[in-house]
Amino acid sequence: MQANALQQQFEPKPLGTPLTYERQLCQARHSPCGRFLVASGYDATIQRWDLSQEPPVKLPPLTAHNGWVQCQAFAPAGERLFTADSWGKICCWQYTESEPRLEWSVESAHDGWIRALAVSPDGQSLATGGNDAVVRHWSADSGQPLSAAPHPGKVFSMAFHPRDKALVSGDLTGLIRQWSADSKTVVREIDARVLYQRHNNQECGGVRQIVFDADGSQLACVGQKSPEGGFATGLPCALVFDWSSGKLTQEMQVGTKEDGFAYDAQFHPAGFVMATSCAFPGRGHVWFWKPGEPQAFYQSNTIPNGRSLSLHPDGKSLALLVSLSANGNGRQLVNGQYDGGSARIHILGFSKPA
Amino acid sequence: MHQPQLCQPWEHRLSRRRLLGTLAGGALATQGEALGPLFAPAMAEELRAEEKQAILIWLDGGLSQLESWDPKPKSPFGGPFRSIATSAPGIEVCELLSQTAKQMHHLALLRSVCTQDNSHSAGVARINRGDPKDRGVVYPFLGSAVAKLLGPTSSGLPPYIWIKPQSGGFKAADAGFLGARYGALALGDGKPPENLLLNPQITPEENELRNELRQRFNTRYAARRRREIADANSYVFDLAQTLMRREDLFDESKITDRDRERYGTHELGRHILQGRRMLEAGVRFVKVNSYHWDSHGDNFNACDSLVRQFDQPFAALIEDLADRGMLDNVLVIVLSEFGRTPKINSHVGRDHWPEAWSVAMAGTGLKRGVAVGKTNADGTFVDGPPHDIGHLFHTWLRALGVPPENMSYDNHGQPLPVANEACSAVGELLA
Amino acid sequence: MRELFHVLLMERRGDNTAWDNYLQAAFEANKTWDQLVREILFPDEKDPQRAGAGFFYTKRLEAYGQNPIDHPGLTRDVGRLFLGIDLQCAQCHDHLFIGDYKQREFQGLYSVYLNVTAKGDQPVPAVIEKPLIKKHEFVSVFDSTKQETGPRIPFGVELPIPEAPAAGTPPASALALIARDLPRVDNDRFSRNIANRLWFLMIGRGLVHPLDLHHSDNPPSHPELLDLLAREFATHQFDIRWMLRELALSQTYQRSSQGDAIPEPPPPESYLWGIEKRLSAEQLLRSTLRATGDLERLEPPPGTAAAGEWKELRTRFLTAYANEPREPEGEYLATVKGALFALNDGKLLDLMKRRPGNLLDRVATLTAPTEIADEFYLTIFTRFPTDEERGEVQAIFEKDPARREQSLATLAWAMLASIEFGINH
Repeated sequence: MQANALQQQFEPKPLGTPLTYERQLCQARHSPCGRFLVASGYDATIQRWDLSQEPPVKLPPLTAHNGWVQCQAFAPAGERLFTADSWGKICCWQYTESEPRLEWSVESAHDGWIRALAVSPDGQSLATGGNDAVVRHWSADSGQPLSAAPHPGKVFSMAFHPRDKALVSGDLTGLIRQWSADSKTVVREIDARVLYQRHNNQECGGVRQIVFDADGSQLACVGQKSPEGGFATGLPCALVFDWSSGKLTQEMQVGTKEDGFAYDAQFHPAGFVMATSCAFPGRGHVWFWKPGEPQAFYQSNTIPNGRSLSLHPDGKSLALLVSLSANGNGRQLVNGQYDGGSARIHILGFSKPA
Repeated sequence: MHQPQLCQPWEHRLSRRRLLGTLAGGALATQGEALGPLFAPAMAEELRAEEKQAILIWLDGGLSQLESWDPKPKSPFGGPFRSIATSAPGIEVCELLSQTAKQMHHLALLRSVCTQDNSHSAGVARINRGDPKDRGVVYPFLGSAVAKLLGPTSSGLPPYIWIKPQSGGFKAADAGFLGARYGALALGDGKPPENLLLNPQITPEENELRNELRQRFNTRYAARRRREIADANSYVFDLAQTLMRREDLFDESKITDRDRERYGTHELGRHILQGRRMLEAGVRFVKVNSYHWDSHGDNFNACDSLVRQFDQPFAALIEDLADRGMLDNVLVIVLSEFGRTPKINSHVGRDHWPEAWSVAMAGTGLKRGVAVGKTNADGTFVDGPPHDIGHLFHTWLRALGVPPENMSYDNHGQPLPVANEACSAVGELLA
Repeated sequence: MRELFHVLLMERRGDNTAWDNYLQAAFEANKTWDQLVREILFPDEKDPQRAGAGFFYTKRLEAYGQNPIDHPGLTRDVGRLFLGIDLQCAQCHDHLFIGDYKQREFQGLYSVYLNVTAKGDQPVPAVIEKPLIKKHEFVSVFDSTKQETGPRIPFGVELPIPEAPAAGTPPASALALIARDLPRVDNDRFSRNIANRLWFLMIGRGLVHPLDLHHSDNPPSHPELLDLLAREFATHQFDIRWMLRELALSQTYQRSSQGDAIPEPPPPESYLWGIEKRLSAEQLLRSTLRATGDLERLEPPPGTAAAGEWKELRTRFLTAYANEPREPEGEYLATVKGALFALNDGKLLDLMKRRPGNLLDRVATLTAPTEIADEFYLTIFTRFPTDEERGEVQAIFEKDPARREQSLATLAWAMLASIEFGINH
């Protein structure tokens, strides 16, 4: 499909009123059935909306975590939701009822911040990784540990291949490791080091998200490159790799360094990468880019500060989670209260249904 | 972000009318005293003999109190990190300070720091100068103040050494109205100053002879002239020659593998270790600077990287000073121009926050294993009496044996309090 | 002169050949101060008269470190260096402690400099001016009342916004207005500032001190004298050479820095004793080379770029003795860095080796210690030694006759490293 045809079909338009939450959220995901949207973030809760109602109905949150909840994944059949927090805990939920049930949890699954979680395509196991630089495998049914293997850097992202029995994990240093499905053996390493920077005494960047396309022939990962200046902020960037060869096929870079990290990405079934970035308040893009094309066919910063995007399983809409938290030095009170920032989830419909 | 250069009230100079007003009160003080004028000079002599020392670790840009000394887990602004117990019962710190936590029984925290400026341009100077009342003069930074008040120790080494990344040299600006001689000798990347080694063309005997001659010329020159220039000149030549005799201080082969491992080979690790060596050698005041703490963006990954770079060598420093009994004489301070906002901005960063932050300290004159003052449950504001940098200057000077209430600088006849007289020491911190 | 004014105007920000050439030509032609300032304030890289003068602006309009382009800093420097008023603290509000310094004094000048940028990568420094089409709005941080101003010389009248030019003609320049109205005989602040600065250069302390704080609460130590100097300088068309000669002939200039301190030395602002003045790094380099007999050999002719040994020595002297960039050089500054340079720098010590025709060569041919002492003292201290000093030299040679050559070098070093040599007294 030509770029302008893609644009005509897939240019996103807001549908209805955005969902809002009083605290900032990091990630939103649709349940496999498409009925639920769950989102988690800085207040250790997992928020749920029932999208089958119009307007969507907010359900009671899931609360068993501490710190930040930054990653979550559904079992493929949709019966379970797995979540992990920054204090090292993972939880398995029966989440579909109004009163959620915690099926099992592991209090100290990792030493500290868990930043990545993925469920195997058969739903039997899940893998987690985080700042302790260990990739762990768990039984989805019981939460029993199955394996653990070290990673060279802090693990920021993970994904299972849709068909091959393979797990990939991306770390701070821009290294992507392919593991055997039980994550005991390293099969190969893929180089995404352009996403890592040593800048101003800091270790910056990292593979912030990693995703496969529908048939598993391509892998995309996102982050930033080439930071400048005082704040370790670089250019939002997605890298696309050919899965069979592990070769980089395309670098998709947009915006300026004020647009910062690309935090999330997903392949659309039509074959293009959807990604969003967030940096300085009011900055950051959403972009759709078909691999092989020289530029994005859609790129917009009208809804800035995107932290996460999730395609509805019906392919008709996209949930774009944004952070609303102005920056500013010193005391800023709103009506005498200290404003801590909030989140908004825009539901965007495509121009022409696929 | 850097603001355009805004008004800097500490640069307001002396107005003549005020100067005349002050002078009318008393005669000009004696200028001939070896370290330049100070009111209560007898006191100064006693102080010098005490050999108190200090090390200031300056984390430029602003350390987040929430990711260090005052974590607020389970609060809206707590961030992703856990808090951990420390060797001081009842005191918890952020997990990023895992090594320092084991030394907490030596430390004193002030968690109720509330200062005035939320911009770097104003904050850096005001905090370093102790925010004195504006008398139209530029006050010295703490290192220059201590260099003035206490002078060199009996080691004869320069009283104020500044270990910093990048270039070294002589940095006069810290000295303010005290005059350039109280500025800092800066060691760029901790390396020795240029020309430290006795030039191989000169034998030690020749060196002695040439300096003896030089001094003789200078003594003759200074007779029947104002003393200041000759004093300043011989002071720096004396310091230079003392430094030359201590070239071992810069000899990296003298660093043990154990120290290298404990402090780390990263920049701040090397610099804090160099700071310890300077203290051991007898330097009166050491400042160690670390830059790029201004985490407006990606604060938590930045802290995960930076706070750990501080934690390791700082814990080693405290452990070493304690083991050697040096904490009885050395004041240790960890300082920034402000803390960081509880609120996390859309860039996952924290901005500048002078309203409620923490300062860590240890050593001479201070209680050990205490956390004084507190912030409210969300960490947004101080709960209880707030303490400004003026209170801290009083506390630190007192800890060093300087009674700030009774001591003034003599700025050409104008008496200037050594610390803001509207503030006083934080009694709960003092031993 | 070129060097003196370069340091005064640029405060160690850096060098530029076109600027050096401009200053060199200006002082050779004895350009008057008002003309010089007019050209600096309204430079034109295409006009041979003014080419190079733009460096005053362009260097200040460079970003350094992580700082933004410092338009307020440039505004401040124009006020400081040409009018003797430091308006930094009047940028955001009326000055808190100096009644005369109002925010509008800063903002009127700032309205012009806000629109000036440096042209990048030009062989000759050049600026671009965005045409000023409306008044500049500002508020005080203390009360948020909006105010506005057109271009204005501090303490002068507000100037009209230049009218839009006819098509095809260059846009009107606000810099031209500043250049026209600031350096004028009838602008007292302009003449008093330069009179005070030249007095400082010659005598060692400003009549108004500090130099940048002319205001009614900081009167000159000798008001009538400053009035007279400023008036006379203006009457003589701001002829710098004339003024410096007059000052050099004054009794104050000729006063010795020695005296009987009964009970204390008189305060510097009394000028009863001569004030010891700092030698700049460049002056120290030249004096050193003149004394060792290397100046002619090493110094490149005016207008040629520094190279080779001269450049190397100059860099070392500047590193050791010059202030940091943007710090005005005023009082004598003794530093450990400078002392270590004097003690151990190899290139400096090389100057104390015998080379045909240099000082060490000359004294090596002398046999009588008295002659050696005379030669050293005349060359280095430009005076004869006293009997005591002659005796001292004699004692050195008698003590270790076998090491005569080393003793000569030691003596030369000790004299060159002494205050008597390193200070203008």
